[in-house]
Amino acid sequence: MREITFLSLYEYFISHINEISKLSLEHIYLVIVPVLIAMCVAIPLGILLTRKESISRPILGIIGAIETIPGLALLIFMIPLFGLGNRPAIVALFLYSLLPILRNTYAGIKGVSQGLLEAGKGMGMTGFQLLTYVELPIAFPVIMAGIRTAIVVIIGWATLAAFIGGGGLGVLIVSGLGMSNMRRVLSGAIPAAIMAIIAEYLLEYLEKIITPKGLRINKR
Amino acid sequence: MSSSEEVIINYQNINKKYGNHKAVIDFNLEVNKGELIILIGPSGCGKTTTLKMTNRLIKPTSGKIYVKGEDTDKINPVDLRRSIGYVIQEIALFPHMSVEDNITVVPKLLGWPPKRRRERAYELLNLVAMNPKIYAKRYPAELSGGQQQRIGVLRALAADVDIILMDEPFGSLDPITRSQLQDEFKNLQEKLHKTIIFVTHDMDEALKMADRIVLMRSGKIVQIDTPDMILRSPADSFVKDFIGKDRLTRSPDEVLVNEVMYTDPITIRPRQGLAEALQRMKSRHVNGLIVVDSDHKFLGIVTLRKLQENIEEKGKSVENIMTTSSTIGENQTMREAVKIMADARIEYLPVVDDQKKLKGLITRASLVDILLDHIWIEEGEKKE
Repeated sequence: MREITFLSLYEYFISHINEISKLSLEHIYLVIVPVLIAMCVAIPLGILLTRKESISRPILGIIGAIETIPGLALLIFMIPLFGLGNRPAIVALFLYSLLPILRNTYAGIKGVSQGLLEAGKGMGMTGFQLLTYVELPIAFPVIMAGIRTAIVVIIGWATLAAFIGGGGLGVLIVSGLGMSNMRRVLSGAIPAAIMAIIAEYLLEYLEKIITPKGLRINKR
Repeated sequence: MSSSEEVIINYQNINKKYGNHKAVIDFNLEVNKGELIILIGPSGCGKTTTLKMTNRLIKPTSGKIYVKGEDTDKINPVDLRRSIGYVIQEIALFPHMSVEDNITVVPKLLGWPPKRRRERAYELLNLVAMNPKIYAKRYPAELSGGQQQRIGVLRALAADVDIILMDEPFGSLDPITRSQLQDEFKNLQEKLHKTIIFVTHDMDEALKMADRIVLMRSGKIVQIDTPDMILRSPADSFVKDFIGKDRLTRSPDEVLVNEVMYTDPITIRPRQGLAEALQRMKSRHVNGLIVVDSDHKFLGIVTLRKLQENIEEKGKSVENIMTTSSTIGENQTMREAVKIMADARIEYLPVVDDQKKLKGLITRASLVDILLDHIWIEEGEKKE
């Protein structure tokens, strides 16, 4: 294997820029789709669990167990069910992003103080109004933190999609490993890492500007 | 007490059981319109349960509660709650809503248009002397505990309800703020004449605020009476103990003025203007100021009434309208203080030292009332 210098890596990066940007876009797709689906499932489910305490433990337990399955194993397990390509990868990544969002939705809503709930109820809010006027706005920063965790983790996991025939930056890593071309491996790994860092900051900023102002003051 | 004797809340044979535990037993009470009823008793006596049954946060096991003649079983609980104000000890302002939005939660639920809601919020803020231009857009976290609970009370008033339930509303505040809010609330109540059910475990608060006190123990009513009657003729030894031995047995001859005086009365200098004096009374919520010179020597008293009579006359300053007043030394007894106040028919008695320097102020606040009652009882007994 040729010794890697910053310059040679840079040259490789420039000469393959089209491929890298195409795969980056696909990578973003592989992150956004499963996380969006997970949000649609986990947020309502999290709310439901706060209403039905009896089922909250088993459900949180099952979804916690999925999280412990190694990434590659889960992906391979998806092949008999969904075949090869992006589809099984999206299903697997969806399952991974469920837990942080579900757990934070549940914890965020559970964390709303009894006093606030009693005040809301005592003033004549219906169950739905209590949820939309009080619980969700107050739990919002916690739910948002769960989504952020999910996105950052999935940006990493999504590189594994290439192992089961999917796309994304993992393609560069898998093929680079096959060719023993470390520059190729790094041209997949480095953009993925940068993407994770940017996502973290961007989402943190987004969370800050859309958190209700009164709650931001509280944090100080 | 209210002039009309219209019954607005009627509790009939209310019982509440949790399993085998009887939390409230045969609770019967007719609450008149405009009355401030205080439910008091040791913890676990059923006072909070009774309060929460009024707006059906808790369902009675048996018995009926009528609000304005309507059986509350037959009203949708959500509608019932929107028609009754509710203030709790935790204050529980919604942290993500501005002061204005917090105040107008119930009007919003009732579908008032935004313009009307804002007008209502401003009107209410003005009522407690919190400038809406400053406070309407603030958030609860930016307010002091006392300000937060003022907003808590305004929130209960916002939908122009007739009945307000208050569950230890001032319980989480420090003693000074608590007493300030009690005074403010009492003044507010004198203007608004709401019907109020108020839970506390603080006897001082009950004696100070209540039209009638309902004393409860282990789910049962022990005594229902005016503060005065509760002090004069406690129903049994439990009530006596609950009122507190100190309050009943410590003779006014033993209590010294400096034990009970306010050490920091609101003062003003003789050359200050009338408008300034008025402003100070408003901002400190008092109806009189003590006039002192630069050495803090006592000169006189300015009352709100005197001030209002003269406010139009621009040339006048405080010294033109102040009145002299009896004073008392700080080591004299409360019996002497009470006598001076009763003879001179004054509400304030400045406390001064040998050089006439102002040391404090005795007012006809709770303690003096209690002492007055006590003297009455004693003297009544002597005659018998």
